[in-house]
Amino acid sequence: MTPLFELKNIQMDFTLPHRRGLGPALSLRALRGVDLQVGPGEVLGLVGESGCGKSTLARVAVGLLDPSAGQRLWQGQPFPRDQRRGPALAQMVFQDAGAALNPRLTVGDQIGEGALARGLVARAGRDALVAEWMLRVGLDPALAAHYPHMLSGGQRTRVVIARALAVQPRFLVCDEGTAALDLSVQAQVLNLLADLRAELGLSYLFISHDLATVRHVSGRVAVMYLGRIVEQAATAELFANPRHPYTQALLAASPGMDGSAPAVTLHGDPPSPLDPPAGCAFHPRCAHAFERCPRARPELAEAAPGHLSACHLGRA
Amino acid sequence: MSMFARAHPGRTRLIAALARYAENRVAAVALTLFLLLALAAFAAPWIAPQNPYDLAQLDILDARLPPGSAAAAGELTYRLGTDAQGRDMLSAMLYGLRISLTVGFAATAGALALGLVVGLASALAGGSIDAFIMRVADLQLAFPAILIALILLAALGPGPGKIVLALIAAQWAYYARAVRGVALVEREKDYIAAVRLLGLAPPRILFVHLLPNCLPALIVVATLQVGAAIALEATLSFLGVGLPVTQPSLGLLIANGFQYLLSGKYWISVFPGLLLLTLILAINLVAERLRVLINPRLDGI
Repeated sequence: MTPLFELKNIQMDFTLPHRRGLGPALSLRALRGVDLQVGPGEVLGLVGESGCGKSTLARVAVGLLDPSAGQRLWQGQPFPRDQRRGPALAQMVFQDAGAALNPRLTVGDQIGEGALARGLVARAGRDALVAEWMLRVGLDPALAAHYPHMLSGGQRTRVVIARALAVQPRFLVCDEGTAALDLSVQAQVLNLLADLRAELGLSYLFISHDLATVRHVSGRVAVMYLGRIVEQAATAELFANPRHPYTQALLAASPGMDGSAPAVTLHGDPPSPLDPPAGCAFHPRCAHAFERCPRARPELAEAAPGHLSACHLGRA
Repeated sequence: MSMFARAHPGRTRLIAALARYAENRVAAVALTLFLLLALAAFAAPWIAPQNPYDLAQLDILDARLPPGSAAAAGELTYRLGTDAQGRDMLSAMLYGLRISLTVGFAATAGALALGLVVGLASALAGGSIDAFIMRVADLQLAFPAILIALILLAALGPGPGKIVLALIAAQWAYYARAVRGVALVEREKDYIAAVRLLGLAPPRILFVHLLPNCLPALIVVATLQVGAAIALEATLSFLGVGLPVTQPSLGLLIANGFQYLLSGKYWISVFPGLLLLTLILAINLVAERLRVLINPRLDGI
């Protein structure tokens, strides 16, 4: 079966000016060959530490950034460029809903303008469409005349979701869309996303550093470390049998629901993407590292049926 | 209180903004003073005792009369005295204020418009075009504004239109730089990414989303520059390259009285000078308050 959305060997390099002003430009390799597939109606979770490239991946996935190399496929075909009419393919729920809304336009204008520009609704029907979407995401349509700063954080997140959905996308990228909300609001928004998925058959790429959230919403989970996917499996499988030492450490580092303290914690910070370690990028922090790790980078390969992992452990 | 008031759109919003502005008493007085001066300048033809441009109304016998003198012919009392041509100083000042304000605002509007276009183009084009435009602006800013205006006016000759042109040439670079800076910051914000992702047309993104969010910072620069433009015009007129003698602005009035200053006929220079000082001070105080309101973190600095 062809996946709805696919990333093939995506690389994303940023050039930075030299630190002392003169000299050769530095190249920051934010994504170093990422492969992902999202099936129709599927929720793929993506976890990783800050700075590992999650947000860059989100922006590449929706097309806000052009990858330096690699392919974005939509139903097996190259992603159509510059389509400005008709339903959108992919949309994004931004990390900071406050920054993702224009402070000088009413939220109603912002929810309706995409659908209007794409010819999905006539000018006369715009207000009705805005009201419909506001109701659907659990907002009072009377708020349409308000400006973003008059709304609470949870309401703003709903506005951002409504704005994205009003252009009828089939694929939604949530980049930490719920991270800034308090827990009860976060739960409401997660349930809303689940309901919308069931109603509209949406697919999600759900990006978070919060393992509990990802476990709750995702069918499959990919773990990212320093610009690469290091493990990928069905959610239950990944949480029950983490193969990669990084995933194991991440799971161990998250506090249990019973209030128990995390058993093992990751030591040190992730290495700088400007100067990544040779071989396996995780080896300086890995408890199981052995002589092969600094020398050769382990490819992402099937460790069990449907379970991909990039680690030398247990390989011939 | 302001948070609550801001929740109402339209007129209430304006009143709330004014109330917030007036929380600083000095700024409230400055704004009132500025509005009064602007009103007086606007109403000059109706409230001035004399039309200083109409040579038939001037009487050379009334030249250099001290404040409070009566005219040799007729019932006119020269409350602020007369100048060397026998012009009523109060009338000349009202008309001069009119010219100074018109020139100041016209030059600011022109420079703002030019700077806005150049700055936005620079920010959006990026790369070598951006670098080129900004080096031109740097070069421009490296010259004193007065020098640029002097050279231009020497070439163009005097006249209100020409002095506006000279002021625009001297000031556009401030706006271009400010616009570019703000636009570069706003452009990277997520709301711009979001509307790009929605598939809006670039002109709509520019004019509906980017530009309105760049304006507040510019209003502050523009208000400050109105004061600077008026002062620059007064300086140029004082130096004799600005406006023609028949249409004296405040600067020219000061220059006219300059030679009599030491002979005790202080009123010809001092009154227009005080008026100019008050005007520029009021404008700068208003600008300072706007700057604080738009960036609240500056309050108290």
